[in-house]
Amino acid sequence: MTDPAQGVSDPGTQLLSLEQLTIAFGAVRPVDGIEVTVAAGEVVGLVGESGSGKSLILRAILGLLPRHATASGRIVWRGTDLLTLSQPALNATVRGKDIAIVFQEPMTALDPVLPVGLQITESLAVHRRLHGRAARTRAIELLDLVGIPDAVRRLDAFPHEFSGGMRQRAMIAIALASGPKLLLADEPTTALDVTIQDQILKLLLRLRAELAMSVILVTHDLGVVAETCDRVAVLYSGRMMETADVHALFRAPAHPYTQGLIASVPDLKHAREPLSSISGAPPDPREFPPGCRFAPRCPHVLPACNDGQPPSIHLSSGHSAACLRAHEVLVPQ
Amino acid sequence: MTDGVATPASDPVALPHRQPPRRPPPPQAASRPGVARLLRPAPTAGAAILLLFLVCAVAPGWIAPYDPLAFDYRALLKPPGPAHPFGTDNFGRDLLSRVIWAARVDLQIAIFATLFPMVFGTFAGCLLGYFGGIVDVVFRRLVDVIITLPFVVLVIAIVAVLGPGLTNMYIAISAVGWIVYARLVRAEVLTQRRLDYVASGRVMGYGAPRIIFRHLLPNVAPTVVVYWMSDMALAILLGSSLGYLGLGAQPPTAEWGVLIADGKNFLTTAWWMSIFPGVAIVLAGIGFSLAGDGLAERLRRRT
Repeated sequence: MTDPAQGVSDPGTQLLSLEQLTIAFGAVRPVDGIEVTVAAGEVVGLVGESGSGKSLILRAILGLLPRHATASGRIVWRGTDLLTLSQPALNATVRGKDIAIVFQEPMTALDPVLPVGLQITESLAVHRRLHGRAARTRAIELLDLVGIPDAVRRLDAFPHEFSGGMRQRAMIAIALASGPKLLLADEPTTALDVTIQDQILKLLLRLRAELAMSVILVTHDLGVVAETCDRVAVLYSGRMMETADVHALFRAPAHPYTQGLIASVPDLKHAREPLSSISGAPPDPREFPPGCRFAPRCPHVLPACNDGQPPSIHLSSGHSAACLRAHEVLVPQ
Repeated sequence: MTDGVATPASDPVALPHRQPPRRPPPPQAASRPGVARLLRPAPTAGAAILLLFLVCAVAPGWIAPYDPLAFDYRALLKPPGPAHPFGTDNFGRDLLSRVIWAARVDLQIAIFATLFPMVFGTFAGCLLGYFGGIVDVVFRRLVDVIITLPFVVLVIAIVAVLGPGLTNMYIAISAVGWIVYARLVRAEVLTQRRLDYVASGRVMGYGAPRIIFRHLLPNVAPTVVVYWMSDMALAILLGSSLGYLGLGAQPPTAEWGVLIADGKNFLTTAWWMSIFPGVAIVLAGIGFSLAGDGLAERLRRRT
């Protein structure tokens, strides 16, 4: 790994790449042809509204898909396709070691009947062979690291004695126990209030830099993306609409959906004016439109949009959009 | 327990004064917390009842005034009195002593008839709920079949085949009883396994045994323990029913159901022979239920 401590993306040290990842439930394909790469030390955002398939993608990476789902394409983790691994092989390789996950709901993601400290030392015992006092010391260090005050005393507290933000910090501590190289964060701040949200995001960024981790951050909140991500993939109904580095995305969004998303972020400068929104609703996964899935709601729609999936149009280095009119739509702001 | 009737037999306020001086709020307000306070000792009362029976069961020889099996032909069918607080039966055996000794048998039934079903049923339920699959489908069909037959009838059928007696009764109850626990735990595991903490365990790379027994089981345990308490009450009822029918404990063993059966022919002339063992059964049932409720509430408060 080449100096990922600065958190700068370096395409030479690619950790994970999703290649044409498709997840199907029978004939329904809520995730379709996703292409995302994550370099060492990079924070990649997956943005989309509910039902766009973001969380499914994270679950697919860790082999947690429901039994009746089938995944195709490739999920390449440092040269190995995770989709070809069995559950025990996943346990032996990536799970809890190289890749860890933080869930959205800190209320249910911690085991309610075990003290928090025990849940950390459990991971240390399984993955690091740390037991007894050594494990306890390490657990205290981890709680300190995620900013839980009075860590020594908190170790024996139960999850229900923690506030939401504290639980999320504890979740992160558990995820970090095994020293992961990639942290998957599934809407880690959605269930928290705004000030706590900000603290948790700053924590993630700090940990990314200190521990030389990569992060995939799933969110529906563009504000969170702007604050934390290096690169962003915008998903809609299971397809990639646009991918770009975070500056390009906000400065020059090239997909009508991305533009709609950015326009609908509430803005203090225009307080008390009606919020702008994208008209219509996302399509039912059982009856996706034949062509571009955003076409029925798109203000720039052409007849050709309904003929087939629009190709991904390359706009600049690392920036592409799946829109026939990407070049026209793109307006530098 | 001699004068259980509450004191306000006459209502002094209602009789002489007709004019209401408009003061209902204070007593109302005072009675509300009073009720709440009354409710809270319920688990304590339950525990006290259980403790009483437990002491009887552990050391009946110390408490019982007479030998429960000793005949006394000078005191046949004596009504309750100073010498025999619960009276005597048709052989002159002291009923208080017999009821006390019976506590030993009936608590034994409560534990032995439920322990195996609880342990095995919980284990099976965990596996069925977590793994599902074809075994689970077969299990569900099995449950459907067994549930169509009343539990007691099934147990009686098995005892009838094996022959009457306590051991065979345990075998019969265990053979059928575990299914209830398995069903309960299976359902609980099915809901719990969808929670993120199980997913967290899986993505931590934990194996199924660790997730099931370290994480799921402790979360399911409160439900099992609470059900176990009420199941022990049911086991006593079932055990005494079978004793009454002559399929469980055999005379001259003192067992509440057997005692009731002994007294049934004398119900019009010596009511005490059946009433006191019956009261013991009711009390034990109440004790288990109250203690179980209290336990449930306490466990619920923790999570």
